[in-house]
Amino acid sequence: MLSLKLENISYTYQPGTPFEKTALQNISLTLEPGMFFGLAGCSGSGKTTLIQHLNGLLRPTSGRMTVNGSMLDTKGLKRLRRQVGVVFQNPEHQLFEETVYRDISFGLSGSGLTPVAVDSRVMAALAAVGLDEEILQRSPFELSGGEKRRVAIAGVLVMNPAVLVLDELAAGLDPGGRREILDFVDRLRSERGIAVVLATHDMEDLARYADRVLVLQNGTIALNGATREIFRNVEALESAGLEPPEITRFMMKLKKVMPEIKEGILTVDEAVLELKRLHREGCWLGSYDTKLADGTVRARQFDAA
Amino acid sequence: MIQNLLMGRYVPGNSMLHRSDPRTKILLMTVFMALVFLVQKYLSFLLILLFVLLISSRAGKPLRNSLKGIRPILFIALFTMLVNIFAVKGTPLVEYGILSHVSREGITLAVQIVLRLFLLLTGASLLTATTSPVSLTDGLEALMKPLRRFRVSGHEIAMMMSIALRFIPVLLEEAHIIFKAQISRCAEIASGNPLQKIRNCLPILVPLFASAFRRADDLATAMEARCYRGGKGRSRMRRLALSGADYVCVALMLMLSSAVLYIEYVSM
Amino acid sequence: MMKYDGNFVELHDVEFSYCARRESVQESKALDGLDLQIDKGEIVAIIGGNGSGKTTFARLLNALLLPTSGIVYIGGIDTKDKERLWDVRRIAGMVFQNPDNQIVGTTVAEDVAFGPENLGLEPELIEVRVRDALRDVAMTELYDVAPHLLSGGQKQRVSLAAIIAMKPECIILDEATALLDPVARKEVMNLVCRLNREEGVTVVYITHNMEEARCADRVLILDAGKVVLDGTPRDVFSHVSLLRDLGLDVPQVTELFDTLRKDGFDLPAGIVDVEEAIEVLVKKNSRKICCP
Repeated sequence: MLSLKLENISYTYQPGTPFEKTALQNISLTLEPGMFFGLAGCSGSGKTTLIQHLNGLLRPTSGRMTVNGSMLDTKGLKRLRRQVGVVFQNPEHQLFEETVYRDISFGLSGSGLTPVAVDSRVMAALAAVGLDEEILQRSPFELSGGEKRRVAIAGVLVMNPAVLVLDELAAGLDPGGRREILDFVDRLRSERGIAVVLATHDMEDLARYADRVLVLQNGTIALNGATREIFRNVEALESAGLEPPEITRFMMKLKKVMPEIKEGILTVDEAVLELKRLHREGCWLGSYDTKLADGTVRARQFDAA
Repeated sequence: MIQNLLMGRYVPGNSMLHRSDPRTKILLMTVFMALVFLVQKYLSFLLILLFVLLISSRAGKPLRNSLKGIRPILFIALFTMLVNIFAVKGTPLVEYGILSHVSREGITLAVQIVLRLFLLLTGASLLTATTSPVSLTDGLEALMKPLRRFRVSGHEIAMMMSIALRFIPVLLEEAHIIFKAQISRCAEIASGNPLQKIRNCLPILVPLFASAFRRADDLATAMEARCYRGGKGRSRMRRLALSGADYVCVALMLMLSSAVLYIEYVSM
Repeated sequence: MMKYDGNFVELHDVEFSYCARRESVQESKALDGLDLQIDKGEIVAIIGGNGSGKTTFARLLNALLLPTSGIVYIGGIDTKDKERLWDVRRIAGMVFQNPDNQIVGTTVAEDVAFGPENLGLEPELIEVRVRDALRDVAMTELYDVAPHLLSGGQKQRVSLAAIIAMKPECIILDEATALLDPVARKEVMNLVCRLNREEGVTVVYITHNMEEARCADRVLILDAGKVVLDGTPRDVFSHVSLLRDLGLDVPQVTELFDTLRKDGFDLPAGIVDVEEAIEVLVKKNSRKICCP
């Protein structure tokens, strides 16, 4: 397993030229196995720049990055990239091989694995993304958009990374597709014990899956902490161009009228449980009376939920 | 950096050249190129050189920048020079071993070639530095109008050029992203012998081509949705109009041409 | 039956298949017997999953696609009328999903001028249209900027200006905000809603985002080429289980109320707004007993 630590990382593009741009300033984060880490921010906040540090594509201009406690050197880069698998945005646009099999196994070329070992890895990766074996001999260009995206993800999973980094994984998908793909990533995380980093601006996705969230704004950390804590800071989120999920906002507004409400509600299920709890404890909106067709009112039809 | 080269390093400004009509500039540039290839005598070269340097500094591009412009082709220029110095047969300069291969004619030819290269490059970069890509394509489209008689659509050619210019930075950026994605999968892009290197570019080239086709498809649909149906019946927002600056440029070029032609063909 | 009835958008028994083969016509029907009207000045949100036919529907509105059977009238014009194809496309302008792949010009102004140039307008008029359109989308300072230097949201605003400059009667957004971040998305939707309010432009937009869907006067839910639900956001989103079965989202407050209602709580259906939901609960809270 892998633990990754960034300490006070800063990154400047093209330093010393008129095009100099500081993309990241003083970013620190720690990734532990099994963690679902959310990276939130609007476009231009530095999410993609930060992601590129995680697998050594970019080296910080200042600050340091350690992998399992030791610093990174150039020789270790290739090994790092096998351990930290990065799936960029619209990964289906990076397929190029003649068959799906060859594209998925591309990441293992030069790894020194035997063909048998490569084969079993490809099968495992294919199963992990929920695709059928018959797809292996087809050309990637024949597939549908969703299938292509899964093949691209399999192409990263095949390296058995200890950390999976996803840049806007669900961008451009419909709600059903979003949920499906994020569910399977979460399942991978619990099955394999890998760490997952999801960069996105969709707060509902993070509310559902992330343990910890780092919010970036103009290259600096705006918020950093457990998901529940983060989502309480509505003003800070809004100034970073983000919004807590609708249900969180709703419960926070409701709290102003009903102070008994717990803080940090993230999903509809949690909200349902919380409102039922309040009702049970008697301090809720007593009215679950029902008006019948003849105008009479039947009070308190149901007891504790 | 590459973008600068391809987009011609357009630098906005208000010099006489900036204010000239692109059609004038393109035509004068053609005349200039013809002159550069025509001349043989050193005096003509000197005259043209002075002319170019004068115009450059007036257009806001001092000598320093023009000399910098040589850097991309410096190697080729030197190589060509050496080849010509040693390979051209003629009256030797000195009789001393290997140096006896060096002929007077060879040296002359070599110097001429380098001068021509420099003048062409400087002249061309003057054009692209003072004319935005939009203007250039407008000018070319206008100049190609007479070709309609020969069933050549100047509009379509100009539209293709303009769209290509528009998408070069987009495709460059995408190539960069694809490169990063493949490197992240431990692709070996840069290693191996030249033949292997070409094969190693496939992970970038294939997706890039696929992407270019996809973009072309989307763009064509978007253009049709905005009522594009070719050049027929189309108007242009930007109108090209000749002004005083054009007349001055033409006059200057006329003077240069006459002087050069006089030196070449009339005087001894 | 197929006669024009006077609405801005009319579809009469429209079918569309992508393949021409007769035997497999049943399976490959992207649109199946669509019959609907859209009034001038309406804002309509189209929601549907993958393969529901929503993109096909959008492209019928500006004659990018022609129905395999049935008739589509846009502003009274039959889209199959070859003579008037360009009139249809001028009246119904479309903004596409990918910000880069619809910008033609090498500068912002040049791209916005592209449409009017295609219409053959006078140069002075084009210049006025371009300036006005850029002012409408608040991009005047970026007149001469090259498109690749813009953010995604700015690019979509340029594309919107490019349509506005053609003075359309209807603007169609084909998932135009799908690839934008929340701030940019709001900007685009605000612009479009303002155009509808101030100039009566009909707006038809495809979206997956519930925040956006709420701005509409009317929501159409498509599935397998048919219209499954058609009504105000309130009406449509009250069918929570049906929408869930179709793999679609509902606003979270609507889902909350629906779940509580299933467990016996007396809450009204069709609440789609956070503010409204709070009001309902507060009203019903008037008999509450607060716990210590």
